Amino acid sequence: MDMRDVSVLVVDDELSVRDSLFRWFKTYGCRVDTAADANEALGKFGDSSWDIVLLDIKMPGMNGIELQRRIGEIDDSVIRIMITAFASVDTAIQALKEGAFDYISKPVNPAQLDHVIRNAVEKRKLLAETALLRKTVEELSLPDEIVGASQPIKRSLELVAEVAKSDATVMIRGESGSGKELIARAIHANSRRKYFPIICINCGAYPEGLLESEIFGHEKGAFTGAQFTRRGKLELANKGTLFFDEIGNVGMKMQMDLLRVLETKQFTRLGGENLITADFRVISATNLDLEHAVKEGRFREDLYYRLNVFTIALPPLRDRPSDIPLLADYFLAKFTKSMGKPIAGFADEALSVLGRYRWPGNVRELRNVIERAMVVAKRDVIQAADLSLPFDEGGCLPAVDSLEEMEQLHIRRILDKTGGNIAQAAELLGIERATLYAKIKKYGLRE
Amino acid sequence: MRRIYLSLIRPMRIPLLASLPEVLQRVFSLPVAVARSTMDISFAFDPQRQQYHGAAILLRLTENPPPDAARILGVTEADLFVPVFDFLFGEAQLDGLAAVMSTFRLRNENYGMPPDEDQFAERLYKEAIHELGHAFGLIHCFNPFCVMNPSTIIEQIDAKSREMCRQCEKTYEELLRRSGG
Repeated sequence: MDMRDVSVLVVDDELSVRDSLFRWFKTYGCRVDTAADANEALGKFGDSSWDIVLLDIKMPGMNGIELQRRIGEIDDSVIRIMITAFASVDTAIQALKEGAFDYISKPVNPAQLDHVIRNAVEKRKLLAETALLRKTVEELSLPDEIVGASQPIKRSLELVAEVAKSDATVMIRGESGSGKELIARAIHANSRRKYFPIICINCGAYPEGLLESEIFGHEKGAFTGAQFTRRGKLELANKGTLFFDEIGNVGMKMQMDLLRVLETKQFTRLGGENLITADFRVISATNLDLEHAVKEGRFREDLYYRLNVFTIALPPLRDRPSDIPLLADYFLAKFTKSMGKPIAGFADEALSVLGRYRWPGNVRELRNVIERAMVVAKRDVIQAADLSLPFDEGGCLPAVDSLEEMEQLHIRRILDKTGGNIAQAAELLGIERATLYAKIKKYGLRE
Repeated sequence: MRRIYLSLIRPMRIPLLASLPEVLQRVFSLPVAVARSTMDISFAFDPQRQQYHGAAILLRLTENPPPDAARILGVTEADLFVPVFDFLFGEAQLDGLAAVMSTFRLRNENYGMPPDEDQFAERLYKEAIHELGHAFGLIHCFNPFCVMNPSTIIEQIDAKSREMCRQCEKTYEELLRRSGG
């Protein structure tokens, strides 16, 4: 264990103790300093930061117990080790209860001090690593924020703020990719339930039998393959929020079961007898026309009214074009960090292409387009050609001026279409393979 | 040429040291001389602890050093302490002139084991090299086989070798070069 980057402050009123410990830590290569009393020690915290502080319990003026408390207030991550005479072990234990890491008794056994210091350094290292990892994970795994300054998105966010305060059941309507789950998470994160989980169920992702087991859980032996008892999402969401995505895809039997649960908040696991009560808030989302489904008898009217207490309708991205540059910048910053690829922004043509495209897949599609562009980008600014938008399929022509850029885009699209098959691409383009190779090289379309 | 001086501190059985100069000379690439007179350390005795104050002995070793002394290592059979610690195998002035070591806790008899002179000599060499290493400016090394690995119990001294690891060897050469040999 390298201790050269460890800093140690020794606080003791006895000069000989300070000197001995100073020399001892010096042989480990630590940065070490000493203080004769609490005031001098606190002063040292003004000048510098310390990993480990060894403090004598008995000192004139402020004693070691009070000093370790004060140091904890300044920086709780500082490892405090008490030095105590045998007679004051009880006092040392009191210090442990108040946050000290350990204590050593006088006269100090070198092996014991070595052991305590190694543990302290290890703990300090782990704390630093944990903090760094937590920060990294938080940054990388943060759900995408709801970005936008347009009137429609502002209105949606106002509704989120309004409904989050209550425990009302919410239905989020919007096209695929418009950010319904983000809105559900935002409601949960701003509600009184935020310290409990939000459990998401994609109702469209399971066959009916499996969905039932996912939601209600099952007892061991409830059906073939049920080898263990398993808690369902309803139980997992206790005190939190239950988010049913694609609620319009739930079958009729399941609709009836859900209605009962939503009314009573009570249920039994599949194959079980015990009645379980759970406290959860329900948010659901759909991109289907539920009113039409009710009229056609495919969705229960009573369940529809039970779920549709408060509605938030999310605008499609094409209805809020002013948000596109903001979203593009947001995703660019996010991917710059996670990919470690320093891309400064978008070329004007690229922004123009983004603004004119109709975004049938909404924000999710925009996110994917930016991510892909970041991967293929060869310059520090994303070009229109990097975006690879399908401009002839429900979109629009990219706003590029030069014939060269248009040619580059077209070749890239054909290569994508043929899965990179040069012979097929050359045939579709109506040019010789050698010519295609030359153009690929010219535009840097491949490594 | 500057040299390492071994200063024998009473009580010390001189024959035990016969092979030590050669071992130190090989490791530190400097000639080793044994000081003619032995030092009396009764001044450093603490009657309450029945031990000798290592830091006080270190200071005494630095008084009137031989003019060609590169470093001085005091060796004693007396049990050493410095305030706050209950004992020390040895102590050195880091990047200073002097180091002191005790053979008291290097003997098997101290741990209820039968005497083993070979093992004792090996421990003596390791501790002497370790403390002199500090005096030359080397800090503890966390290579478990390196002689500069810290030892707070006798088993740790036995576990390491009496050689410096490559890194410590390089550092020592650099320190020696900078101090002009």
